Amino acid sequence: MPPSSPPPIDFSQLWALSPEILLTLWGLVLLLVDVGPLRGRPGSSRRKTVGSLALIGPIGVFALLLAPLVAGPGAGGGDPDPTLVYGTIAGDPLATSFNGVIALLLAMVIGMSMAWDFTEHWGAYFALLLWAAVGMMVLVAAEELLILFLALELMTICLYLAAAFEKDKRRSAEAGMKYFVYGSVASALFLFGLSLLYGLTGTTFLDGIRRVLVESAAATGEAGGLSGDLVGATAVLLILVGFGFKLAAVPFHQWAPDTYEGAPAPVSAWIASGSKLASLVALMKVLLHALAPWAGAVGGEAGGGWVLIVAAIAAATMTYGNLAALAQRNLKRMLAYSSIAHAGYMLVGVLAAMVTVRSGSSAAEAAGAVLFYLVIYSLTTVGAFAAAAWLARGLGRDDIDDLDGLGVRSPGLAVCLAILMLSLIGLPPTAGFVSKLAMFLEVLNADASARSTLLLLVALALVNSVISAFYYARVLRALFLRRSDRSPGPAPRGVSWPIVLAALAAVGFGLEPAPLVDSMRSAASAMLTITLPPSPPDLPAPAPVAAIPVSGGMAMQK
Amino acid sequence: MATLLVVTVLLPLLGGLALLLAPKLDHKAARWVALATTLATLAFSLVLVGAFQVGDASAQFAFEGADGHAGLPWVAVGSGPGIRFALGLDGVALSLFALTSLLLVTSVFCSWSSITERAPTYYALLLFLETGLLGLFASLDVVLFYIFFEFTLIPLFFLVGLYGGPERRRASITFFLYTLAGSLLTLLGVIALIVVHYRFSTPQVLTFSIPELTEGLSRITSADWAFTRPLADSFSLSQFLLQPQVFIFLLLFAGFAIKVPLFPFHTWLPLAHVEAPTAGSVLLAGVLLKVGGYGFLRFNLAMTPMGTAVLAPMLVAISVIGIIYGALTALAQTDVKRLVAYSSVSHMGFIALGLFSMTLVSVDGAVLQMINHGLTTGALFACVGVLYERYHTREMDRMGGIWKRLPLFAFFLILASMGSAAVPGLNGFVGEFPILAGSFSRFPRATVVAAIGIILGAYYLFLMLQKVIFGPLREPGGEGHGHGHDDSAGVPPVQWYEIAGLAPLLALIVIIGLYPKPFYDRITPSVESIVARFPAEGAGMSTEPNQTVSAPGEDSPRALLARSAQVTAP
Amino acid sequence: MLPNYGFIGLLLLAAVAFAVAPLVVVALVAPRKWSVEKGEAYECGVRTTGETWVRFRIQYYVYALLFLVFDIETIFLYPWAVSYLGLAEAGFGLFVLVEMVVFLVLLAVALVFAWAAGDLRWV
Repeated sequence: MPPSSPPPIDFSQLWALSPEILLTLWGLVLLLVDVGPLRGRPGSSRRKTVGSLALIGPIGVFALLLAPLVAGPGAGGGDPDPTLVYGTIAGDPLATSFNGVIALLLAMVIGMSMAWDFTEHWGAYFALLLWAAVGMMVLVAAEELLILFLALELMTICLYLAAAFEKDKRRSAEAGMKYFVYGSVASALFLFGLSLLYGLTGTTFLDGIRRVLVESAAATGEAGGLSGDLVGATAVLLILVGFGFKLAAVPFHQWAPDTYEGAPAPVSAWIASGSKLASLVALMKVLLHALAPWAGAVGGEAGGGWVLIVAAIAAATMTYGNLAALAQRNLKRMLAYSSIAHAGYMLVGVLAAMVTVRSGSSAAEAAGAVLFYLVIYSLTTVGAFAAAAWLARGLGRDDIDDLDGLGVRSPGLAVCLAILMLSLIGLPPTAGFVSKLAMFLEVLNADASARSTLLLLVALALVNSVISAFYYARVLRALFLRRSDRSPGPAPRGVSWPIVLAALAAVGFGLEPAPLVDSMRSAASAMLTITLPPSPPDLPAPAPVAAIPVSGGMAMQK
Repeated sequence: MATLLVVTVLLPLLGGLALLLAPKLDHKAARWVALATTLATLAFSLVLVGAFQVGDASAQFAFEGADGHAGLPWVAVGSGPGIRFALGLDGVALSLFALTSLLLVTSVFCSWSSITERAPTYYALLLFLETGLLGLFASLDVVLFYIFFEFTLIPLFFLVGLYGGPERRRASITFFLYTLAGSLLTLLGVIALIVVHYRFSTPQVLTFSIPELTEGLSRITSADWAFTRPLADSFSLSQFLLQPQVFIFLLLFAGFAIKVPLFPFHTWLPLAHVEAPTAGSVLLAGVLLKVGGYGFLRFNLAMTPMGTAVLAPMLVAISVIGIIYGALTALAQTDVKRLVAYSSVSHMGFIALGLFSMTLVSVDGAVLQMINHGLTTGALFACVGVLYERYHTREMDRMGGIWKRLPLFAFFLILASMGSAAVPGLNGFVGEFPILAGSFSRFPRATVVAAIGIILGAYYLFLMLQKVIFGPLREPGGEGHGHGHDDSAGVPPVQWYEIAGLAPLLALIVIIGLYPKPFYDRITPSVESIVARFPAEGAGMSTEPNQTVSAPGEDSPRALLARSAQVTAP
Repeated sequence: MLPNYGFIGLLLLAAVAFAVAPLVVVALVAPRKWSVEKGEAYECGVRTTGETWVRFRIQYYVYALLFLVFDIETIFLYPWAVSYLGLAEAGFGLFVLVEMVVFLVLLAVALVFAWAAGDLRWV
């Protein structure tokens, strides 16, 4: 034990983690309710009961998030150090606002899940959804590599299982298997990258890594970048493999189309929205904050860094995703490729944020634009997947052609779906347009030295938007311009309200984006400025980390 | 007045929403609601026309925000004025604004009897389109402009796709994707303009306001932006194309050229026109194509004048090719609607020629010609609709001597055709003559070729008249479809709503032809403020712009012709 | 210069030839006889009976998993118990105790779930 004993655990900090704790416990309750009181009831009745009970989880999260607002301004504000539990988890506006977003997405996904019977094990299914949400929330808040990795694993293991939940269908098992095999390899590589990073810097705290890198760069007098640093470059590459897998960025995307197509629609929606959302936030935290000194220059005067790698990945991802989506006939598979393409756009935004972080001006705006884009994308894509759930319930399949004639049969929902498609293309007056505009404006405004590369990327992104219009327009055509005698029937409530909500968000934030943009900006500035107080046991020796026997992942450190 | 402008823009939107949300209306109730809304909008825009200060070049009816910028703050961007909900009208926008609200009334009348199924949705889409178009012309903010610009796509997509002819699906998808493809490049150009302005202006202001951008960009003295080398002086093509003004010009050009449409980008137009319902064609030709011309003027000419200047020879060449190509293709058509559609390609070529010749007279003429073309082509398409509703065909070879059956209709068609063929005394002449006169001072050879287009235009229009109107009576319905024993029973006379739709257009065709001064009075000062920023001919570096404020009252075309030498000649 | 690389090239060729030659000779010379035994998965001379893929009853897996629950519990409990005193001195006593209780409750819920779901019955 170190001579100066660390401060005792402040249990009041648990209040900030209450959403995660609530969802964890509530998942356990659902699990037991399903096999206990509801035992022997038919599957569809348990689906409704357990599903309605599961909705209490996200609603409770909202209540917990709103409680400080009701209690008064003095309750939560003014804390100079927003980190919790020895600086491993952040309790900043970023975490709070994204807890809200994740809870909202979770509620929509739960609603969709209640549309039809694709499994018998409802308690386990909804518990897995809730626990995946816990993983996402911790991932967004993580300020330390081990917590980050554990959260990532918690999230993806729940999703592996959920993807394979439709046991009658071979494609669902295939989806879970492919997701699992790719995911575990990517996780292993990611963990190796993290351990290299720890070996190089002697700390696992994001802010600590940043400080060590800044100091070493100052000591050697180099302007940053990775030229000549083989181990560092390997670490960055391996970390990018891990994140690339989670984001479904080319060339780590192969699992995505098969998984999205095979998994039940709500699970695909959850993978496409929540998982991507949380992973991208974590990626931004690691790259923009911890590894910023290794970014290197886009302009090319100071050697290579991860910026160039990310630029290449972004360009390949958006182009490949859009071109491949053109050939798709299945709605979920098309949305899978569209989600790949959107990951590419977002990486362009991350690049711009990096360039502005380095030049020091308006960093929060650029990163905030990416977060805004991310939130809007997640909401709209969940709405789009709800349409797939509707088809799967009514027709047992979910091809784009199955949408034929819905514009006549259910005009209201068809209009909402059309709005979602327009938002995904990025047409005004939807939020998709505003978010693209905001992000690309930041990109172009980033830095003179990087402008030619970034301009190229933005041009590529806009050309890609044009390509994307072709396959989204296919949905519009099916909805409004075709007739069909097969109909999925009227939409159940669980499908209709996520679609309507997503469409309302798309139009509402398209016309009045200011509140969301502002909150995302403050979240981004919290993300980029978070610094550990100098005294806590993080620097420079790694030993104090081992003194906290909280984390189960300590074994790897010996 | 500023409030009235906002109300005018949003009124059709409200009317459309009311139509959509109201419980099941039959087509009779729906059309009356639509008519009332469009008439109210027209009345409001006429009030705006009346209140317009003649001689003032700047945008009028704009809200003055508390921080000195026009409009209400909407999305804050950085510390600058941000994206704002800013509406206002200068002379050019006012003319197109009023034209839009007039043509919408016509298009409601065009649909009066032909649309019976799902009529509330149809009229709601028409009204949404009206809001999009009015908002587009009234926008003083680039983002707002772009939003309305793209918004017009959506109702038109559904109008063509749901209510169009047999090939409507292909037509609507082609139209949608083609236009979208170009407009996204335009968006990139617009963003680039904003960024250029931000980079080079001192102090750095991130503004989205169209007037501020125009003004600010013209003040930039940095050689990176202001100096633009013509192709002949460039070492290589890429060096030429990568100059900021040229590059941004081409980005902006992509979307607008497809809208206009200029010659190689016109392939979507015949398909969309032929398949669209009559009202769709009227609006497509009457207003939607003007959006391209308006964009050229507002963005390409006003914000990248040097780029326009160095590219002008090529642009003029394209325009002239379009004029001749459109006319020749129109000559080969047997379908009346296709003929009118290709005549649009030809006439829009004239407008582009006028714009890219970059003289005050030609640009002035081009703007007036936009109004004229909206009126004449709108009237022509409406006439074709009248014909189609009675005979269900548009093949010229199957009809003839309609004069004897529908004398009033024949009069309308002849008048509209003569206006379109630029017969002196009608509106086409007062628009096309200044275009040719202005262009001749810069591009004499191209202008001579373009003049051939006028002759061809008269040729194909009169050929059409000869086939349809004159000669022995031949009616398609009577050729073996049963009711040959009593032809007149199947062909109702021209109805009151058809007259009501066409009469205002025809009246304006004559009025503009006889007395264009009030129109030029409103257009010229705004055009002049744009033309004043053009570089002197042959100069590489733009000189400090000398603002010439025109004195009202002496702006007849003849006077302008004389004065253009001061503004544009070296 | 060039002759030196030439030797390396010759050496490479010789090496490749050395590897390829036996294969070629065998392909040309060796007699070929096919029999059932040669096609078998096990080549120890005994014919296999039944399917190669034998399925075990699913209950074995469930039991293996449940065993793992208790196994992990013990593995984690032991080091915890060893270091508990030291941690308590450092002021972490209550916290560490709560952590372990949370851990045990989670495992207990897992066991209850398996029980209630009927996985403990041998059907």
